This record gives sequence, structure tokens and C-alpha cells, in this order.
Amino acid sequence: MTTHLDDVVERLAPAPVPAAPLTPLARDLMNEIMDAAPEPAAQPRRRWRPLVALPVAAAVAAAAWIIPSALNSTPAAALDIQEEGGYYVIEVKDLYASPKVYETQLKNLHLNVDLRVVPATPSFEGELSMDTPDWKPMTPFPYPDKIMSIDRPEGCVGVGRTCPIGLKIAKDFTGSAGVRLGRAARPGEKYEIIGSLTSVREPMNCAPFYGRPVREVRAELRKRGVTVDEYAIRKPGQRGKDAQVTTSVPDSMYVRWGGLSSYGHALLVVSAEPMPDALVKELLVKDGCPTS
Amino acid sequence: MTLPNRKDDDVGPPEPRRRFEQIYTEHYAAVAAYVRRRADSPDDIADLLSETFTTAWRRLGEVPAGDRALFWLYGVARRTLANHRRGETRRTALTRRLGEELATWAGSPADRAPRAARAAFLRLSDDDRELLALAGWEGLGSAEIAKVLGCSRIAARQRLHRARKRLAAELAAADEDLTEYGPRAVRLAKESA
Repeated sequence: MTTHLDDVVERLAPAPVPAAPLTPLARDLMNEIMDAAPEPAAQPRRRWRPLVALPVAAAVAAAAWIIPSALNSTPAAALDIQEEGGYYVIEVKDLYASPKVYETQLKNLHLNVDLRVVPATPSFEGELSMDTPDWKPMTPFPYPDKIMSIDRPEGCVGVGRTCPIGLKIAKDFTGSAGVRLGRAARPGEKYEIIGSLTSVREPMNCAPFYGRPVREVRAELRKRGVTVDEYAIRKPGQRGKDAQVTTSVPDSMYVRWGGLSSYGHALLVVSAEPMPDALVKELLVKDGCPTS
Repeated sequence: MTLPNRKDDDVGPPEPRRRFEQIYTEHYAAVAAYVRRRADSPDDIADLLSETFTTAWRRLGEVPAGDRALFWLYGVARRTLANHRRGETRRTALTRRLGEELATWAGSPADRAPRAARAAFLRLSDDDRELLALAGWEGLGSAEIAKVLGCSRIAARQRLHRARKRLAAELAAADEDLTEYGPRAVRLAKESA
């Protein structure tokens, strides 16, 4: 039968081995392939709406958005840059472009703005955060009239979130500014911009979390493919930075906060004391969740 | 990791990247096995994988949905192998490292067939060998082979029949005892005598 002939051919193949595992190197190859070449143009793709996340204290005036101009002459432009009065209005079109492409586009405008694309937890994907060298902690943003965020007016939910959708930079801005743009993390990567686990699009949004025992929250996270590998223990009256960080805590402790630390891993802030019901409700409201 | 709150309209990796990741993770092992069976050395496997999937990324819009994506990838891998044998290969630092890792996985390239059978197989044309290999190594039927080769099902069946016939003839010419390969091998060899 033909199968006999196929058998002789089959025996000409190298001896069988287990299926090739998808190792980290194999995954690196996948990412290298996607990063090395532009996205296939024939694919329909949703227009990317970036969000500019200036911290609340620095979130500034809103303005009109995007007027077409000739500033995006290169077909592979990663940034959509429009002129509007004395400002450039900047939108990120391609989150996965090479940093060189961003740099070139910004240099062409003679702006000293350093844009870095970094892994961000889901609620910050696509958002820009200011990371300006001259900006001292707890002080007002140093260039409020030169760099402005443009906030999204609707659907912005979350503690301290402003959900801006654009960035305006004055054409005569001569200082230096740093901007970090959040993108989805890849396996093995640490997040550089971290949102609360309970924010919209984060794994524990509207799930049992605040004030719940560690045991319960850890089980909920496991269902979502997330492992808790660090705990910060907060004591009453203690400042956040003084919390003791450990890899295990009693299951009965109460969860106060949490965030993804690296792809598939999370950090929980816990305490021996339960959280007051009123505070839990307040946090649920801020996350846009039902309170009962 | 799958985040349960993700919806299609969420901000996240653009659709082409998601689709490519799915194709890559689903078919990486099968494509690796395909190139391993045909590569001249285990070191080449990473280069061939890299080039096959690079083509898939560039031509993502052409990759068919579902299981047919694998047959499309086999077709690309086949053409990549032909280019590779002509020396048209780019090697990066990453594919070099992956090549070292895959060399451990791939093991010995030695086959388990009699030397005469191997010689008979090697005397066939590249096209005949590929047809027989798709059936014997990947276990594909003529309908699936047609998708890999981009021809009709009838054409694939006829070409496969002729390839088997030529293999039987080559085995007969090598004085192989064709009864070992079944009565059809004997008949096919006689047909082509």
C-alpha cells in the first residue's frame, strides 16, 4: 500500500523529538520580528488614542485637538504631529515603533523632548507621563504654559486619574522634557508605569479586593493568571516607603492596595488591621464600581 | 497571562500584533519540526524559523484563519528553505543564540531508514521529495498538501501518486526488495518500468 512507501519516507526523517518548546528565546524572536518591520499595512487597525498622564497637580488646560498639516510627511511616522497656533499637538500613532523613529520626528521639530516607550500595566497602556528632569517632587510642573496635557472629558474613572488624550508643546519651548509612553508588557518584563490592580482594565477592577483577606485576593488573582510574589506590610501611622517588604504573609491579613509588578506578577500592600467599610465604599466609587 | 477585563475595544497591543502572536505561539512547534526534518544542520533551524515567521508578519493579511494558517506557513517555510540553500540567509545575534538552544533540542539528524532507501529518495527531484515528505513526515493528505503547494486537490493527488511511483522505481533500481514496502510499491515500480 502507499502507506508502506510513506513509511519508508517517514523513516528518512530525523528521529522524533518532543515538540520544540516556546522558550523565552523563541518568544524574543517573535518580538524581534514584530519590532524589526513595520506593522503590515493591509491589516485593518484601530486608530490609536494615546492618553497623556500628567500627575494630577500638573494636569493643565484642555485645548482643541488635531488639525491636519504637512508635519507627518513620512509614511512610517510614529507620531502624528499637527501645528496649532504656537504649539505642536502630538499624538502617538505607533506604540511599537523604534525609539529612533520618535527621536527623529521630535528632533526635526527642534524640540528637546525625550520620548521613551516603557511597559505599563493595562490601565496606563497608551498613556504618556511626564518625566521631566527639572521637575522636583511635590512642586508644580515647571513648564505649565509650554507643555500641556489634553484630558479626555468622558469615561475617565480611577483614583487620581485625569485620562488626558494629547500633548501640546509650545514651538518656542527650549527646556528639556522627558515623556514616557506606556505599552503592554511582554513576558518577563517589569512594569515601569504601574496602576492600581483595581483600576478600569486592570485585573481586579470591581472584584473582591479592598479589605479582603490575602487568601481570597490571592486566589482571585490566580484565576486571572497573576501570581503574588511580594507583599508590603503597612502598620498604622507608617509611611508607605517604610513598609516592610516580604515574600509571604499570614493568609488572614487584609489587602489595602496592589499593582502588577511584572508580566503575570503582582505586589500587594497588606495590613493586620481591617479596612473601615466606609473607606472600602469610597474606593469602589472612585474605581467606578458598585458598592453593594 | 490573560487579563479577564480585557475587551476587544480595550487599549492594548494593536490587532496585527495580537494575531501574529497567536499564529506564532500556535504553530511555532509544528514549523520548527518541519524545518528540523529538512534543514541541512540543526544550526539552520533558527534562521529558517526566523525567516518563515518574518514573512508571515510582513504578509499577515494573507495568512488564512484557523488550521489553514499552518499549511500556509509550511508553504512559506518550503520557499524559505529553497532560498536558504541558495545562501540567502541573514543571521542575527538572537537567531544565533536560539540556534544553539535548538541544536540541543533537535538531536541527531541521523535517519532510521536503510542507506539504499535514502539514496533512492535523494535521487528524486526536490518537488517529489517534498510531496512525499509532506505525506510521510507531516502526515498530510492530498487536500492539505494542495494548500501547502498552492495547487488544486486533484493536482496534488496526481503529483503525489507520480512521486510515489518514481520512489518505487528508484527503490527497484536500487535492488531493494519491494515486497517490504507493500504490493502497491511493486505495482508502481512495474508501471514505471
